[in-house]
Amino acid sequence: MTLADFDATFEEVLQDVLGWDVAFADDDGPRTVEAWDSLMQVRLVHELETRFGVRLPDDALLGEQTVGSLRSLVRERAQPA
Amino acid sequence: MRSRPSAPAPERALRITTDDVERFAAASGDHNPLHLDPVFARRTAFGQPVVHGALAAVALLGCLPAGSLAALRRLRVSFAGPVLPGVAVAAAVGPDARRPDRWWGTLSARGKQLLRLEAWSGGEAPPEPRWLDVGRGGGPMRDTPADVELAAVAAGDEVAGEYGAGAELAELARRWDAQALDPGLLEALAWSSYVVGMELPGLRSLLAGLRLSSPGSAAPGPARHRIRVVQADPRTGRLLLEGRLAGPAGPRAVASIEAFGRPRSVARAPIAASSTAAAQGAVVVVGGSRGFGAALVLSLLEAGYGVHALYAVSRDAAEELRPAAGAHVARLSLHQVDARDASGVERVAAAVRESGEPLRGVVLNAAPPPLGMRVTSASAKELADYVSDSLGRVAVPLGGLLPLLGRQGAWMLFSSTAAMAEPPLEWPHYLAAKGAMEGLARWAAAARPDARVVVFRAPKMQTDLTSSPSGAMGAVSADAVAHWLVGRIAGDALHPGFNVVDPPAPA
Repeated sequence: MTLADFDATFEEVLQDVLGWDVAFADDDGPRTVEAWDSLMQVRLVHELETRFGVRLPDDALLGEQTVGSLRSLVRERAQPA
Repeated sequence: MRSRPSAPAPERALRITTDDVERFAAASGDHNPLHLDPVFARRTAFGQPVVHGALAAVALLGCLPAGSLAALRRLRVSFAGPVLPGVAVAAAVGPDARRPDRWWGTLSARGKQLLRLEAWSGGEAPPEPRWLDVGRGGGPMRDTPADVELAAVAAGDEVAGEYGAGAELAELARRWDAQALDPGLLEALAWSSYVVGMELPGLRSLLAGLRLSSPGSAAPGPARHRIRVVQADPRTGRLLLEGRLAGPAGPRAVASIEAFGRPRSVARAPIAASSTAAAQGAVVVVGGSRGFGAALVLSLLEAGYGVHALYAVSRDAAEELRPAAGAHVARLSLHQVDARDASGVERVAAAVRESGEPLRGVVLNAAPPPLGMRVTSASAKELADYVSDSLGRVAVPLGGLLPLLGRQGAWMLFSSTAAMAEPPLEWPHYLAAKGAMEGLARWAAAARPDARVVVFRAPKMQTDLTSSPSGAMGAVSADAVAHWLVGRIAGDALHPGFNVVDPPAPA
């Protein structure tokens, strides 16, 4: 997977789970995104795992995350070239 | 707040009633008690019956112009929070600025989005599952929900059988101005609700997301369906399902469903007779039938107290305390009382007096289950009502029982939350209520300087309240926490006056 593919897929998952036509920044999280609550974070993490074929740590499901922190967690595991 | 940037669409208030919910249950075949039975619903994280998500989606679709509604063949729905029967939600719909055949819609209340929907007329081929045949296996529709053991569900598992939505479904769609909706999509919404609520995961389920498509040529009448588990994740109970609905004349709908299951609760082993301690006096536990309250009741019995446990709704849960009390059952009295009702609390006080045992302790543990919310000018009234409701369940029993509290070794326990130190964004009402309660505890310490007043900042525990996709992770055993806390109270670890007790560090 190329870095461009990675970014496109990552963005698609955010749009699918959190809302359409919203421009997300890396520091966006539950404080700044209306739909981002604990259930949505669980769904977001599962969807990222499914689409990238990776397994994220339990803390990704439970702990406070941002777009940027999730992006790093997935990137470390999916290793786009 | 980042949300949809397009110009805010005019909002319309929708109020789905209990009657609508009953009709949808009959029409869809989704008789899951989460929607219909207050006693069952009380033992879920929602605490009360909730509207079928698919019914809420039908009501929202009814806000679209009839011409556009009729053209729709694809739906994507995301369920973010429960819609409550009889409570108004704000519906907003609008066309997609960039793709004119697409529509979006939202339902909001409690300062947050509860449902998000995207609908379009078609275009690309529907995402057909690879296994197209709905087959001949499986039985008739269920009358009662399956109680699937989550741990036993694996990718590849299948459920198949008959499915038919009742004629009331079209009537219900008319009632919500959605009669122009493609019958295949309407039926698919009802069917998805049936699948999750009755088949997989069945009894203890939560519908989180749907993708539906219809070829747009559905003829009414009985159909067959086949559902396959694509993914099952034991960490959160998440299931990803693919399904297909077909009638004699051909395919009716294809679905991709995201759902969550909750684990079964495990019955407690009875307290052994050998643990009988010396009689300590009487304790009243308000909110004692479930979760942490029930765990406290059992630990207090074990420590030698006579326990009067109050519960409002959960009679079956309260009755489960009797076998769990084992050898101590004779020292357990159950009282069905609304803690906000002064005359009810008075009856409990009379029962304590009659028992002849001095009242040593009062546990104030009742709270209405908090549904996630955010603070907006519109939701602030709901927040204030929640605080008032919560505080009533503490202040009324406190006022009624304080005069009875003996002078020897008296104590009061106020159940607060560790969330006071790390406030979750979705619980402003819960935090405000616990803050008010802690203030009341300070007053109680001033009024009764001889008593040990304990504010316990309870950790996240495995209870009905946390029986949700994210809730159960990282939660500790309520029994273990209760046992530890009762040890602190029954021992001499605490001084008279005001004490804040934090939970023990996890082992």
